[in-house]
Amino acid sequence: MRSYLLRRLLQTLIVLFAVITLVFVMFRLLPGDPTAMLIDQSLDEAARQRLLVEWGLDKPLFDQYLTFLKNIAQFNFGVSFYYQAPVWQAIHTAWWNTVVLMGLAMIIALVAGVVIGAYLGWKRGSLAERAGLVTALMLRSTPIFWLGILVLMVFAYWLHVFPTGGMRQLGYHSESLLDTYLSFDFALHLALPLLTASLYFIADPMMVMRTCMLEVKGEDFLEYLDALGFSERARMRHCARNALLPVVTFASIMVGFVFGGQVLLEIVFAWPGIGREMVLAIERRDYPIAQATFVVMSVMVIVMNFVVDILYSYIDPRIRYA
Amino acid sequence: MQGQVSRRSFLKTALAGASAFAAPSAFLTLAPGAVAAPGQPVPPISMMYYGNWPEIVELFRKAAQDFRKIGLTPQLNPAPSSVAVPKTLQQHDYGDWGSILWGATPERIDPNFYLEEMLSSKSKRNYGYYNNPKYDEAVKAQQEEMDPGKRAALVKSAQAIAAADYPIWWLAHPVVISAYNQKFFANVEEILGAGYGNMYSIWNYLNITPKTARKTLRVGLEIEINTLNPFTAPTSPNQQFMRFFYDTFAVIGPDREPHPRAAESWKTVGPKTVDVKLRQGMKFHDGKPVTGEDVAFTFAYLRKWDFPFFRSALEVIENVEVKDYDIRFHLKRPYAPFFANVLSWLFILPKHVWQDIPEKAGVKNPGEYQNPKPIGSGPFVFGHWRKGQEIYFKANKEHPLAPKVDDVYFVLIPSVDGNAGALDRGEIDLTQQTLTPALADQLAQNPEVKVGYAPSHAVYEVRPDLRKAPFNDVSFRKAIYHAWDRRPIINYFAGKAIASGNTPITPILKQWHNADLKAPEYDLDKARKVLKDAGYTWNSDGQLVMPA
Amino acid sequence: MHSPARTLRRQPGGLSSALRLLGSDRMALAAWCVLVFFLFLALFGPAIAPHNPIESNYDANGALVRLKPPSAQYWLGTTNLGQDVLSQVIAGARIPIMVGVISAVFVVFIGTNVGLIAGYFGRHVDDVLMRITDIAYGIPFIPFAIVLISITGIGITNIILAITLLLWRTSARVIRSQVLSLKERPFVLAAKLSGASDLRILYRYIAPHVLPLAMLYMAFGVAWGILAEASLGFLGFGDPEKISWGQMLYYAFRSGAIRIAWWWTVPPGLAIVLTVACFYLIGRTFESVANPRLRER
Repeated sequence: MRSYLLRRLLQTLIVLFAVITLVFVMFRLLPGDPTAMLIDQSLDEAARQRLLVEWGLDKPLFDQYLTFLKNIAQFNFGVSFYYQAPVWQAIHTAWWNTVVLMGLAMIIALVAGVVIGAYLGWKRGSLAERAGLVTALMLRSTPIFWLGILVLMVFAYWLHVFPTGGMRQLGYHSESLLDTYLSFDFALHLALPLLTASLYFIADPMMVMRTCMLEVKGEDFLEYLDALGFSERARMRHCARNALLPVVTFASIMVGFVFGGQVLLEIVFAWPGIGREMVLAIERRDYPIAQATFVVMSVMVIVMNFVVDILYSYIDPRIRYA
Repeated sequence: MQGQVSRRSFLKTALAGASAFAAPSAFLTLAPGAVAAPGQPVPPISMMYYGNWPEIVELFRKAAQDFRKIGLTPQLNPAPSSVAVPKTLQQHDYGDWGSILWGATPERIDPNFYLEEMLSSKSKRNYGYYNNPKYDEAVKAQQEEMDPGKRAALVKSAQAIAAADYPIWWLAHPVVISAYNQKFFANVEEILGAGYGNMYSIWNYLNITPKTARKTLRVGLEIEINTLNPFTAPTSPNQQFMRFFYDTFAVIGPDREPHPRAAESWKTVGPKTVDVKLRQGMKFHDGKPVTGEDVAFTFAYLRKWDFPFFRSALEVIENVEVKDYDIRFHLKRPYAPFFANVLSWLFILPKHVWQDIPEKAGVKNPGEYQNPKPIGSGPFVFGHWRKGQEIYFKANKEHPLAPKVDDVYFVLIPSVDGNAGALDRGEIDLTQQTLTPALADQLAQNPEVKVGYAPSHAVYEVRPDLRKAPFNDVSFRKAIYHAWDRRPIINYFAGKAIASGNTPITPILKQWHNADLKAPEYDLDKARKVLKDAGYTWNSDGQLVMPA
Repeated sequence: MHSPARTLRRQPGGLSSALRLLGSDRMALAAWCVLVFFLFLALFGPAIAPHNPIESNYDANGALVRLKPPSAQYWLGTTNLGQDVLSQVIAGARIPIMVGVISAVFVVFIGTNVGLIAGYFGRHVDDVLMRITDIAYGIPFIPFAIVLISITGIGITNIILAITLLLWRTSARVIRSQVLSLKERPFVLAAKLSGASDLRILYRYIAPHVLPLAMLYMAFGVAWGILAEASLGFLGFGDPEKISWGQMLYYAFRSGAIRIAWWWTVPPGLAIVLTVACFYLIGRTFESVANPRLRER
């Protein structure tokens, strides 16, 4: 067991290293350099060179790469060219905005999805199941940005119940992070993107749960419970508990989105999150921010993958590890 | 009136001279590797343009159809503007034709930017490699003519020299669509290139007048500023933003002329000497008086640290002599854009704040200083900046150009759609970034809202690599001018955009625009005729064939 | 030797089973009909569109027919540039379907081979290939595609490239786990004993058994490809010379017309949803073949 763990850990580290290197190479291949996006009134060629020196972009690529690696090892992503501030300082609010939106959406999607999925699995063959499945299929086939546009059209433009975008009414002064996210105004702005994201994510946990229910329902111990005289409710609960494992797996995959955000969703709702920030950074050639967002997003997914693998080998003893 | 007459007669002579100068294409050398051989079909033409700007995409879609009709084979090579701009301007790697939209930054109101940067042979932005010594001379001449009247004639003649060569197809000037709440505010003007609320102009922020007891102005801000450091603010809007609290010497008014701001007056005392009189009695926001010493300090400081964004403004200045409130600028050479581009760009730093920076702030370079509470002498006092939320200014009522409002909130609403919605619902009073025509239509139905389509000196252009055949042939370039249908751009702006003349300078800038330079109109038959007259033929496949 | 969790994780989760239930013959037939309709549009779209989709239309007075709701002349109204929305929806079918189909072929080709090789040879080969799959999983698609297209330039080929480079990961994992169980089966052992080469065993004996699964992933791959193309189109990375549904939505959104012009935003989105749903439904046809255990249910 321990040797397996060590080996997986080592492999994961290699994968991380590969992704980090890939990210560095990808961004350096982008045509143009950060100065191109900047103000041009006073920027003659010599001045441009000076900026490049200031940003360390005059050094050979390999040196830049080493610096990048060294910094990352210290969790330091450098100073943003565009914001002229350390990366974390420049984007931490965007990060929290995304985590709040996507985290809530994930919780809603998982809870609602599991409950509905379990119900659908239990009511196999009913009209409700059919309706549920068609809805899930349609949601799976819908691009998230279009779903967002529809939600905006209905609730913001026609019914005028919710604001069209952004996160905050003007003049709103929040004194603390908690205060920022615990206000009616924030809830109002959060409602539509949250609805869209939840709808978008709900189909998968719902379907996974339903299938699991079907499989578990077929297993012997349910008949055993039946024989013991357990009520339908109690049996259903029992059944659902057994089906949760794959749902948890699925949840771990979604964690990547929580930290990476959904670029398209954030664009439609003008949500000041990390996904938008990343796209803007790519456009501005703000390497430090682009690399930081990209790397953290990748690292989250890879680490979650690793954790799930390890968890699996603990939870389910049937699985052999070499 | 008299000035106008003399200007016109001057223009006539200048134009006569200009047309004599213009020996089309004689000065163009053929680039190596050009493949258009005499008597052979014109090879496919690759064109790079902004693939993510709807109006430009539509322009090229339509143009590609038209080009095929006259026997050309366009190869469209769109790229996101973040790629197309560096590829075209920095690397000159755009294929055969490149396209740029020159934005309406304030320094481009002075004609020098378009004349020098676009086409002078030394300019990096001259990505089509136009090279006409006569033109370079004309550009230099207008730059060194300190008398505005005489300079206008030289500006017009420089335009005429370039126009005769058709080095660039100037297509259209967009409009800036903006809106404000006219129930609560008045005295807002349509500023060239800035509309009602763009930060490119501070003018409306100084003069907008509350109609009711509410003296607070709320402005929608689509793109947040980056930093409060006045030296390293990396975008033009951010730089202009800093000038809300750091006083410049001059301010560009709605008449597009520099007006006194921190300076009381200025006058040209010699071809290379300008005297500026600083206003007396002005105070920095912390109460200390503004003196000539601060001005002297500012110049020394900027020189010492050599900030990239200030290089070209400082480059023309030999030295600055300060005596109390009298400032004498010695220029390295006569430089006519000095007033519009230097006096309204350079600002005054408080010596007592910056003399200790970077040392006391714990940074190596003042560019790294976060400057959390900027102190200037400008008409607005910095209040606070809550990142991702809002920026707050108070009015400096003691400033000679004191704003009429009491304070200003810039509220971050990160989509154009959200800005329009907020104005419609009365949550903001003024929009900052430009609106789309569809949103403008909808806002116009709200009687409280005034929507304006301000003209802009921004310009859409396409230019070929002049070193390659057949683009080195002036007749070919003229024919192509006939083949550009600019309606996609005009339509995109709901018919409010202006088609360009054969010059980058918008007709709105009457004093600089050479109205004689009409662009060849859209007419494919005329395009064919020009080509035919120049010896081009068409083969059986309808392809255009180079003259033998 | 191999990571156990992956063996268990069956992508795309329960959707396939749901599809199976929906896939009564009538449902599948309907899906095929709708799909044939869209394929017809993709092939002959430009010929049957009532107007030139990129040409601005002007009324009798020469004024631009700008943002007009549906009418007898323009069945689905017009865009902000006076273009006919119906014609654009018709002409916009080709690119997404083409991108979807081509990228699915590449995705499944790569994924199947990686899965086959990794699953069959196991050990270090498996380790290396699966770690490469992990890398592909670790890279977020949309940001990756934006960077890639910024490097390589806008164009359909590059959209397909972006999709192919990342999305093979799913089918690779699934097919690998299928191969893991297949290679223990008697017929494979028999082939080994008879001295068949590894390649022969892999492509002659094992590959036919994963083919139905590969076909399933092909159908899903088309669906993902269409969604990916639409997303990139919506970000403004579509081919500006050609029209596609995602790109139509981009222009509607960019122009701020989504506030008023439902006729411009609803039809292209609906077209995407229907096409994608059809491919999901058709994918299930291969499923019962791919997984015989399911047939009993």
